[in-house]
Amino acid sequence: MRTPLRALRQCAREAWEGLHRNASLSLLAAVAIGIALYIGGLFLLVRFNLERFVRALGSDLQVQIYLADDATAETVERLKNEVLSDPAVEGVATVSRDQARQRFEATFPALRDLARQIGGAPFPASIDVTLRPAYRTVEAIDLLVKSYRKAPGVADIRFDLGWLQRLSGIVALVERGGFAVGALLALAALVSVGATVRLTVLARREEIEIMKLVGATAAFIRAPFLLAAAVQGLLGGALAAGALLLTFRLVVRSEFYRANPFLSIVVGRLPPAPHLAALAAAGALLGLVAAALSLRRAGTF
Amino acid sequence: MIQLFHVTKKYAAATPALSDVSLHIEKGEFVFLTGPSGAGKTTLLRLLFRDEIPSAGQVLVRNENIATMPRRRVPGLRRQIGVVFQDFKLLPRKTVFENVAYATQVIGMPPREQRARTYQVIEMLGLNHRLHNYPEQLSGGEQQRVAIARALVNRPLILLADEPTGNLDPDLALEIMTLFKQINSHGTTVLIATHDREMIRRMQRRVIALENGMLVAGGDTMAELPAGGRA
Repeated sequence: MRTPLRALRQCAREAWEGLHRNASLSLLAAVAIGIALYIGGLFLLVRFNLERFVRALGSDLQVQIYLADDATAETVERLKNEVLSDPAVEGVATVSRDQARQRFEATFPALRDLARQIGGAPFPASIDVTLRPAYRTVEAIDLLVKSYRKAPGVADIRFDLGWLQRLSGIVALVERGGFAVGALLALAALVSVGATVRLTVLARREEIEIMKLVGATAAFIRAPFLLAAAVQGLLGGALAAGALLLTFRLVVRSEFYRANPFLSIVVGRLPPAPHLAALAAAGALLGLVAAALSLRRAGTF
Repeated sequence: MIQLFHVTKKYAAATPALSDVSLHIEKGEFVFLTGPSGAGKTTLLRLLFRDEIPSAGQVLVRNENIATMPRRRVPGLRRQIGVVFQDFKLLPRKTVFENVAYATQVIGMPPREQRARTYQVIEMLGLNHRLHNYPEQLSGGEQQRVAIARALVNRPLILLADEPTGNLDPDLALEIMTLFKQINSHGTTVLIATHDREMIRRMQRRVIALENGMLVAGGDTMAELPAGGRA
């Protein structure tokens, strides 16, 4: 009986023969996949960096519960404990009026005099609430605000999620754009790999006919084509990952990058190795799908 | 071994390639299938190794209706049938040895057995001195012998040959026919399609004749499907 290892060896030999016989076409198909994945990879790079930026900003996100002037220490303590027990809350910190003033002066040294000119204690005491990552959403914050807005001792609740939402919107836009452009280019790559498979089938028509005659199974006939296409795809994916790495290096070493700090938000970091490996794997998958569709269309098995 | 019941095969053309053909070939028989060009000989052979499906009727090989056989089982059927063509159908990039061994590779025979069987059949057909030659370096007769070797290497129960001597001179044709006789003497059922009347006369074997897709002689017709036959 056929052992899996022997079958694999035979399949690899046939696949290599197919690739070798149509070397230039195979290379062309790999490059087509490479270009599609490279463009997709550029979007991935931007999305990765923007998302990272948004996450970093999100981790600083706080909700400030301003305390009423007449709130007693006991009320504040009760409120603090109540907030702390909320599942959305990671931690709380009480900020007294003096601390609030000091914080303002440290943040805006140029306006230090303004606070003194007003006199008294213009900054209200507050409870600064840090949210758990899973709850840094509009809905969760809304719920929190509704729960505590009318609680005893609360004067007002402030948070600023707008800019975070806007940035998240940009990330989503980049993601969608990447998918759209990537899908379009992937389609072109599918056609290219499909054409290579069809030509290889055509070139090996006689051989396939003989294989069928002597009782080769459909899987045995198809497997080398699928393997060859997966290799082309993997090669294309590796090309894309390499080109992405090269592009990244060239960009971060350029004068333009140094002159535009905004660029570090968009392309400051290379996605980690597993992301790049996924790009190569996506190439192999693309090759497999193209070959499977093409073999089905060839309908000779 | 082979039974056809009221088999009709229609292509796009108005006249059917085969029309209501019924015949019966016993295990170990040597049978000629004859008729003028376009009589339906090739179509009949192609029905037997499930390269075609009949438009009507039943084709039984070893009591199994292969017309309704699921596709996944077709390779199993073909491993029991060796096929030889007039144009040899050899792979030009492979040597004699590789061409013959190829048939054993695709069915997943262990390598040691592949080599043993290939050498054995090549020796039987007198091609030892041509092992490492490519098809284009061989004569027509030698190429046909390689094709026969490939058809035999998996020890089929049935050997089908479509005009196997059509491209050969009379002496070589006789040599090939003698080979078929030898193969048949080992128990393989042999069905040869040919319009070479002189050859048929010399071989003195059973003849099935077709004309315009209809059986005109030698079908050993059975009107009904036998009770034991699987449909």
